[in-house]
Amino acid sequence: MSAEGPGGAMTYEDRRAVHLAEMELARLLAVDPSPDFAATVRARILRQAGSRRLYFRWDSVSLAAAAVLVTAAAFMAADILRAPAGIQAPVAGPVTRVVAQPGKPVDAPLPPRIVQFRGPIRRSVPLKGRTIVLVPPDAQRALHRVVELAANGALSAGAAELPVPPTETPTRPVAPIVVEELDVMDIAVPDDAMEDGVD
Amino acid sequence: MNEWAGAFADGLVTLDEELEAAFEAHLRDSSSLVFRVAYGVLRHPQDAEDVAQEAFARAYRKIGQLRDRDRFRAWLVRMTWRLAIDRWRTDRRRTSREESVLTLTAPRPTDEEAEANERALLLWRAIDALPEKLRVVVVLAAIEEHDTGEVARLLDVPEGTVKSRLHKARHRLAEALRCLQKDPAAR
Repeated sequence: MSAEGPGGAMTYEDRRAVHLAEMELARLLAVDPSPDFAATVRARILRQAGSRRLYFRWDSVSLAAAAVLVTAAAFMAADILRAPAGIQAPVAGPVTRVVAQPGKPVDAPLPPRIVQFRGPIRRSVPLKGRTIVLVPPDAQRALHRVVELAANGALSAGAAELPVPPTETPTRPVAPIVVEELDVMDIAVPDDAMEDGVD
Repeated sequence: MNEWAGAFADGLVTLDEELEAAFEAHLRDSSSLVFRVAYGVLRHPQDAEDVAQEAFARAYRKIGQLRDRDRFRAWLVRMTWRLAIDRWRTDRRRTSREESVLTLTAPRPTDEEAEANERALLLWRAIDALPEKLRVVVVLAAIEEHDTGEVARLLDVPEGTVKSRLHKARHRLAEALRCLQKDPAAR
């Protein structure tokens, strides 16, 4: 059954039902709030204002705590940035060179690489101003030898007058080379053999 | 100024005297309207009062932001409607459970009361079945015998829109009432 009559209008029964429904709705909605409604509204406004004020107080405390944390973090970050991150690249600076002296064998094939650190590697062990030499093991032995010689006075100015201790050169037995003359056979083939078809 | 407004002197939310006076006037004049709007959605006196009070409290906080003070009443009604709809949607499941419990425990009404309750229940169900835009027009038109012009002012829409919506709402209402009367199982 359609809600509309001819021409799209509602039927009489529908119009009557809707009219009754609207009257019933108006009757149902003819209610009033309790007598203390306005007072309750005022109390609610006061209560909410108080709670909002408390909320803003807590908000201020939170902001202050956050500011303290941020400041402390900034100080810590600045402290970390002041310390070097680690080993720096070799820089131009005083370089120790090992120079072979004439008449003195130095068995250091390569000069040692000198790396100078401008700052500490770790904050607990400050190395600023100290020099660290990174050398291969054989160079390290040679350096030790130079240091020993210096300690014995062998590298002093008057040391050139002193007899140089004989250097032990490892001797290696060399067998004499015997050159033997080879006995080469004459393998020339005669021309007639070729003509006979003999290989 | 009255006492309660003076209590806000040291509070965070304070209004000047002119706004206080305007708010007091609106609270006095619009309490019934706001409560009925909330009741038209919630059909529960305590819930409707709670929503109406909350609407007034919000209006008090935001009255300073209202550009056109003459439209306070319409603004308040729309705010109340939205709050009530939100509450109705939130509490719909809970309310249905409470209604079923009340039906079981309430004393048996007289025949006349039972018939009136039946009629009201039927009507509310038909209104609840309407789309929200049609529903608010029907409810506002039923409150205090508002004409279409007043409903248009309250909803801040053209009067022609209100007439059109009211026409559609009446058609749907008639259809819903017919269906509910014919098919009691659908109630």
